[in-house]
Amino acid sequence: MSGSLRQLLRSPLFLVVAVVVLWFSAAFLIYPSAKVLTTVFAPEGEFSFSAIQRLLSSERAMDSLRNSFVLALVLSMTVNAVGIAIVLITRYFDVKGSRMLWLGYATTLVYGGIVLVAGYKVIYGEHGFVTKLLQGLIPGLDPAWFSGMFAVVFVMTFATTGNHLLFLGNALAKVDHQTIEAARMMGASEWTVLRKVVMPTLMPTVYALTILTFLGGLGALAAPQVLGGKDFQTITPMILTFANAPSSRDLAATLALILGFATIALLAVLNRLEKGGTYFSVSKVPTVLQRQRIRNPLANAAIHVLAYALFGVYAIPPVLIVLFSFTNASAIQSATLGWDSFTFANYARVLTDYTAIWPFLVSIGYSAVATVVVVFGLLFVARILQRFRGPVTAAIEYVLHIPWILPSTMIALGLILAYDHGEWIVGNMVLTGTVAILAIAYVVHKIPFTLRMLKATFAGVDGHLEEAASILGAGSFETFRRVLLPIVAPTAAAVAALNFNSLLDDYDTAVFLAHPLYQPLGIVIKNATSEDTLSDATALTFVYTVILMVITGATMWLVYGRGLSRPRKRRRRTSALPATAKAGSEATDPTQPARSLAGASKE
Amino acid sequence: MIEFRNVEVRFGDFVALPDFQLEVGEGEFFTLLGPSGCGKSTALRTLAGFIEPASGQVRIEGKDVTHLPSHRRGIGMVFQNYALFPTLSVGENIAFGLKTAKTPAAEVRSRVGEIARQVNLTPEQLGKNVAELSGGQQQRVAIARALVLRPKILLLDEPLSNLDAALRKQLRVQLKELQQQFGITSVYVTHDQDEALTLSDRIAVMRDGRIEQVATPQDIYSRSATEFVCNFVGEAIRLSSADVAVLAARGGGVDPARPDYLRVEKVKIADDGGTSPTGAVALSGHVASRTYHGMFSTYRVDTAGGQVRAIVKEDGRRSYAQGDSVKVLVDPTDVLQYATSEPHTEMLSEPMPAGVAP
Ligand SMILES: Nc1ncnc2c1ncn2[C@@H]1O[C@H](COP(=O)(O)OP(=O)(O)OP(=O)(O)O)[C@@H](O)[C@H]1O
Ligand SMILES: [Mg+2]
Repeated sequence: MSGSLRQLLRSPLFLVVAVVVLWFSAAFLIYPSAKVLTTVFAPEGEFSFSAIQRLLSSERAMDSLRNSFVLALVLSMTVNAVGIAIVLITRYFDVKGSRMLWLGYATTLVYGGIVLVAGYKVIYGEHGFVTKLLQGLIPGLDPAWFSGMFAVVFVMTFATTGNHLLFLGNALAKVDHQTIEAARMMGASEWTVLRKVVMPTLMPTVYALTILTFLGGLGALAAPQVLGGKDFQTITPMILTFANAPSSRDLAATLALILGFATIALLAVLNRLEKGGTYFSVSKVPTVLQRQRIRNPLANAAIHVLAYALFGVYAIPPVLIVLFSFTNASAIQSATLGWDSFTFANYARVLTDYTAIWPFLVSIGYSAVATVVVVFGLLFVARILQRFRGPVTAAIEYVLHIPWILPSTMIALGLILAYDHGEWIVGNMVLTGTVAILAIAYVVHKIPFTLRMLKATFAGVDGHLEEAASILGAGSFETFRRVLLPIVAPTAAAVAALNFNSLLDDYDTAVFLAHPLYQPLGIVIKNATSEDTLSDATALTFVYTVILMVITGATMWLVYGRGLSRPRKRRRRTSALPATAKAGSEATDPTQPARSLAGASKE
Repeated sequence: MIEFRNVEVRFGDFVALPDFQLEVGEGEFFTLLGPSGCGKSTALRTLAGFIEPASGQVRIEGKDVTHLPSHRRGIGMVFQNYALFPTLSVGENIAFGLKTAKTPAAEVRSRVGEIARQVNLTPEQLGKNVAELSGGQQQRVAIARALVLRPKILLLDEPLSNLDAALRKQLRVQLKELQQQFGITSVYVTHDQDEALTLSDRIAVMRDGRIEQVATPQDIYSRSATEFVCNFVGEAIRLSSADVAVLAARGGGVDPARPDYLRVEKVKIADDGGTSPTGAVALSGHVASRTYHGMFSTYRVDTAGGQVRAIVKEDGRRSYAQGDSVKVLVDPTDVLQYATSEPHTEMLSEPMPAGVAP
């Protein structure tokens, strides 16, 4: 151990990396988190509970806390109900057209977050197309029918079942079909088989997904903010409101801290759950799950109706969004679509009008910079952490995982609080309000996922390769460049693509930190939803959304899809990502079991 | 050529090699043989320079290389799974070391071409991805990559252990041929006695970081120096004290107080009542079981003192059934005797006797 540390200190390259990592961790991971704590408990430099008292007496704040927990609880039930249903429909029961159904249900994998919320708002909201249609049918309909808790739960339910589709779908695929056949031969009914044989093997995954759903509900920002209305505000929108006024930043910090503690506690539970293990097939030759035919015609019909009703709910918004991206605002507004309403003008505008393309450029710029920095930097870090194991590197690794256990809201707030004045650690610069702070936050945000993936890849590299290189005379940098880098490059590229893609439509971090003149897409899309009438700006957001969907779809296909859909002769790498990155795979890193599932799905 | 002088290797508190002494001669094919975890790889990796000993010296050609980095020791190495660089082509793999040494491009080309010819790799194969090669071709690439730098010593750490049985046999032959062709001093690590016996000029049998015996394959097998070696190499049975007493009484020069072993294939079985060959001592008994293997059969015979196992070549002429009365013939000069008695727990499985393996 001390020997390896000595080795580390001997290599100038590794030494530089180590110093940079220590500085970055101290400045952007530890200090901002500590700043949140001191803002809550020692606003004036002395220990006090004043912030907590102020929070307790704030009715709005207490309401938001209660609403958040209610939302989290309700979502845990609704998301599981819908999520389990769509997984069974697409993977377990013999339902006609299950491939198409899967595609419909999977639409939320390519558009989510603020884009999805905005899409629902523009379609079901006060001036929405569907609302207009409904008003024609039901004259007395309240135009704001789609708001409040109902709307938030509805939207978030369908927005977050993507995890079920991936992880639960995968768990289901691992059920040994022979166990089902055996149960059937012993006379068990379809219902009994599902309940007694299939569901028990899925339960560990369901529990884990429940916790992730709960966390998602607790920290929700976009959905309650856009659809919650006055009466249903939750913690994170409230943090945002408080954070905007310097006088109430201590309240924001206190709420963020509560959110942080709840997150840590739940992740600890998740960790325990996953350590408890999943059920493994005991069979040496498990047979592939075959779809179960439902023999009761009534039940069969009911399942089909449910399947296609859900398909409608999932597929209508994205279809309408694509449609509307080709129409003018007035057509949407009046809910009259004719052949002459269709136009390419919106796309032309995005491509030609500088102001229309600006948010896109900002988002691309931020995503690219953050992605390059985080992937390139962590290539070296992951290598060092994987190679030199010891208490020091273990501590660094824990620190680098801070962004994984703390909600991004708290990190953003921490950065605001820490650097709204000069600090020596960043050269006495004020970062709050600058262009840089959002990029820093993005880098911070992407560290845990990137590190995990890269470390897993390095761990998968045969250690003898380095010995072989060294016996052939290559030094540590040359070995890194000529042997290791080419091996991890595909994973690094895949991780970069995923990072880039997920930052492109970020809203939750940007809303805290974005520079007013450099507002990324997420903010612009959100702002379009709060306009009173449908304008051409709304039509533009549809174009943005479509482009984002295409980019995300392409990324997903490049990263996950290619290896699976092309049964070519077996290549060295069928998929660009290590096993941990693949949706639904078990943890391969025994020290961090929970992160396999959570890490991937938190992205 | 190679010398370990009082080498001690530790991993933390664990002493992997307490006091390692070994000499390997020029041009020898030398094998380190022993059970898993006995320190074979540790010894080899110390020689390669991947592990620094806590004390003692490693010498190559009389020069102390203990603190020299790997690539300055004049050694080449073939790894267990060959450790070919997956992102480089076959030719680039072979050229790797030359390029690191900043060899001029023209020389790199000619030397890669030359070594490729010697190990029978076609120019077309040089352009291929290493993953596209068969196991045998990969082995030749690994050897070429190591030998292109013209090392004085070749180290091989279980290069055959990842392969299936048939390929392993085939590549064993290829390996031996290549080694003879280049005449390079080689140190080979394996836990497979069969491999060690067939390939080596000399073998060191190791156990718990210590060397039990260094000798030629013949001597290792038929004159095992310790009880451990006797049990680890080939298949031996331990005679019961009652049977030993009979042997001693009937004129064999065996000492009834010591543990005695017999190679199973040296035990003969004959009809009860027939004449015994000269020099052999007969124990009478009954066949308890017979297992037919095609080329040979394994008999278990209950004698007065206990059970004796015998491997008998099947010549199709005579075989015995369960319950038959037979004579077990033992030549007392075949009996291996050891000074100390100890439970032979090291023998976890019953390996095929090396001499009789199908
Ligand atoms: N880097 C290390 N750190 C700690 N212990 C080690 C290390 N390398 C080897 N050992 C220990 O040293 C002992 C000898 O290991 P070694 O790898 O030399 O065995 P081996 O004879 O090559 O066995 P195998 O046939 O399994 O390869 C083992 O008990 C092993 O656990
Ligand atoms: Mg070994």
